[in-house]
Amino acid sequence: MSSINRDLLAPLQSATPAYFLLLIVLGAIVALGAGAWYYQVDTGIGQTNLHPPIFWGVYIASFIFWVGASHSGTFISGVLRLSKAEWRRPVTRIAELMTFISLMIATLFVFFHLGRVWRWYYLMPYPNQRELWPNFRSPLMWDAIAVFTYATASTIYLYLPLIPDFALLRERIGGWRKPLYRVLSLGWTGTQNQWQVLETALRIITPLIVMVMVSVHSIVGWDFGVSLVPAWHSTIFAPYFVVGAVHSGVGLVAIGLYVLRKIYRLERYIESEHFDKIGKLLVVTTLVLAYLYFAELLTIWYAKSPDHMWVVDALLIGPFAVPFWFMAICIYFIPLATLTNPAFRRWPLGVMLVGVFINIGMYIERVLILVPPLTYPRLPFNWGSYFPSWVEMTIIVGSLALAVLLYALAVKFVPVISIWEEKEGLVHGTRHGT
Amino acid sequence: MGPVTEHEITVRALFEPSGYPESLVEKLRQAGVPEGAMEIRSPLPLHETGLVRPAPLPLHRIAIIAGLVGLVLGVVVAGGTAILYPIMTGGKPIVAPPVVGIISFETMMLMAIVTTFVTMLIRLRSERRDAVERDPRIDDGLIEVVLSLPSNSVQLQLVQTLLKQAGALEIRHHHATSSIPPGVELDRRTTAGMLVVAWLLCGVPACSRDMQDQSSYQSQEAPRIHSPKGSVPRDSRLLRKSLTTQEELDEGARLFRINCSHCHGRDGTGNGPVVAYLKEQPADLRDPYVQGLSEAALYDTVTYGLAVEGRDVMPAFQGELSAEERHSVVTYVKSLSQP
Repeated sequence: MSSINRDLLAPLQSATPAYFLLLIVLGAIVALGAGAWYYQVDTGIGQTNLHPPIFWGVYIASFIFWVGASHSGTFISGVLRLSKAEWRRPVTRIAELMTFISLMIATLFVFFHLGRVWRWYYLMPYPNQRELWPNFRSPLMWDAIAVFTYATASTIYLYLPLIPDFALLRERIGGWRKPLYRVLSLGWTGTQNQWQVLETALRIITPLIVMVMVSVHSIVGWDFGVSLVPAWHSTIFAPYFVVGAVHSGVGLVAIGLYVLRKIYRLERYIESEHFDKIGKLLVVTTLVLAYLYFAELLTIWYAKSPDHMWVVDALLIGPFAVPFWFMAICIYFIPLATLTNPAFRRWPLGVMLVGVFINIGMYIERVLILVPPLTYPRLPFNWGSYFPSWVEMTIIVGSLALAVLLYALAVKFVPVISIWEEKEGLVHGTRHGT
Repeated sequence: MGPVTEHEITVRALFEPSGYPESLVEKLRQAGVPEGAMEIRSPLPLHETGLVRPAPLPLHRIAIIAGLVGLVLGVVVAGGTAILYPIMTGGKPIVAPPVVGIISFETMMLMAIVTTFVTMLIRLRSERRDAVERDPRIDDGLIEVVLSLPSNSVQLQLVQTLLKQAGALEIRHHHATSSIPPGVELDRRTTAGMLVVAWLLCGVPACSRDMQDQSSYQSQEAPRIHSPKGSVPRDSRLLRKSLTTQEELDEGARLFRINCSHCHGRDGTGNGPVVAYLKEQPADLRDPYVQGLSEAALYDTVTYGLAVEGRDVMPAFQGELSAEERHSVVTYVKSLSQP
């Protein structure tokens, strides 16, 4: 057990010059993004290329992408905890941190998209002198409530298993972090009462948060599904969004696992076994997603309703064909061609690269869900076109850098592998003779 | 565990996890150690070993109740908003069940999760702030049994023997002096400081100058936006020049023939071709009464028409003729008095 302590606390205790260099580079990119946002706020939302009929562009696509990415933690951690899968132990914390950070980034995009962002609190339901009150019939309001619930719940879900680890850190790490750990560990001493309360709370919250996770991306899907826009108005959107979110989320976890394992030499904890399991999960999500996509396209194609067909034609053979087929290769063909091979799944770098392709593909997919249907409204006189402006692109790159930066900082603050759960796994392992 | 008092002594015994006998707790119980005075500290949750009976906490029931409260809250907020502000949306009922369902599902989950968390926090905080520092070796895998006993009891001997028999690696005594360990004070200050900062941050929106900057008018404030140039007549028409030019007269005559002559006649005597079909005779414009009216009065009549006893007898021409044109017509009518 002391070797587990030593190995898993090591990332928190030292930092290489390369780490600081990474922080500086990421910080510079974040500063660029922040500057672009400042410019957009100062000069107006017209700095984006949003214009009628295309009123939702890459900001909303990024929002959907990051909310989707946040499904990594909850799915991997929640579902695996529920099913008592032993291999979850080194993976859960990495995934939960991703959830937490992705949700923060996703929330930022709501603000990027607001025209007069300094009035954001007008949206909040509280009695005020403006006599404004939100209309709960708007799917965007459902969205706000669901994302708020999910953000709160996943913060709690990240924090709960961290309490015993914070207690350990309080003992083992000095300096400026010590008082913080002391507060965060809530006086944890590891008595049986405390363990019992913690485990009961985890047992209650885990199934609840899995349900919230499904509801969140369903509601994001309904933002589109309940509208009458051709190619959005579809019953399949909610499950399709949820599966897509899990697809990109699990892909992100593969990337995170690989990078952290490589940098902090966690090969003893994150084995090729884990990449094998992640690869299998990705095969499942690929097949389900492809099935849903096919069902959606088949229904539209067979009905041949002209307004829907404009969008589908634009995707398959029209102006959006290149990104569409690139996306299909990234999220369907590459995972299926590689991860179905057991030997490939045991190759960490390979699984990580597939994760990268999946996430690039899923980002394009989010943009393709948004832009083509908006480009072809029912009346052809109104058709438009859209490509993000430099302000939009800078903000997107900046927020990606912010996500990585936050993750890099978090690694120095919390152990990336849940220490007590790893110890529990060790004890379980010796007891059950595995 | 109860609070530590002056006359208590804390006995701490460390065990190897493999050497920890499950019967120890039972033996201690038989030796008369009360349930609340025993505590087992471990680096991971113990399930199979002989345990101190944890104080019951109905966390499941609390979560369910909180969930139901959240459900009701969601129904009240979403449904209540719909009832208070009945807006028809796409032919749906004012209180639409699917909408209320979605909102209350989320509030139910939020309440259940947050309440479970908060209850857990309160429970953890209510544990005894033990004067005994946690032994760092626990984190390396050892299990610690902590007992609080009266310092002058014979029990102490018995307990020590029991612990030794059970294979304790180390037994230490500890006189309880203060129940506040070092660092807790700092703890509280840090917590309080963080809460104050969080509270101050909540006030940041109050720095908005929205209320001062709002666009409502102050009393007697001058108009901020002026009408476009030329849209408001700045000279009264009464002050118009009295001299009439021949051109204006000709224009007036032309407009009169088009707009007026079918009733009033080409010469203005009130004998136009449609007079036979009218209930009211059109006025003879050469009549001294008409000619005695001011230009302004004639202009008003042409502009707004004429109603006698609530019935329209002459239509309004403000939509047909511009102000200039109406002036020309009035000038022409005035000129009719000089045959």
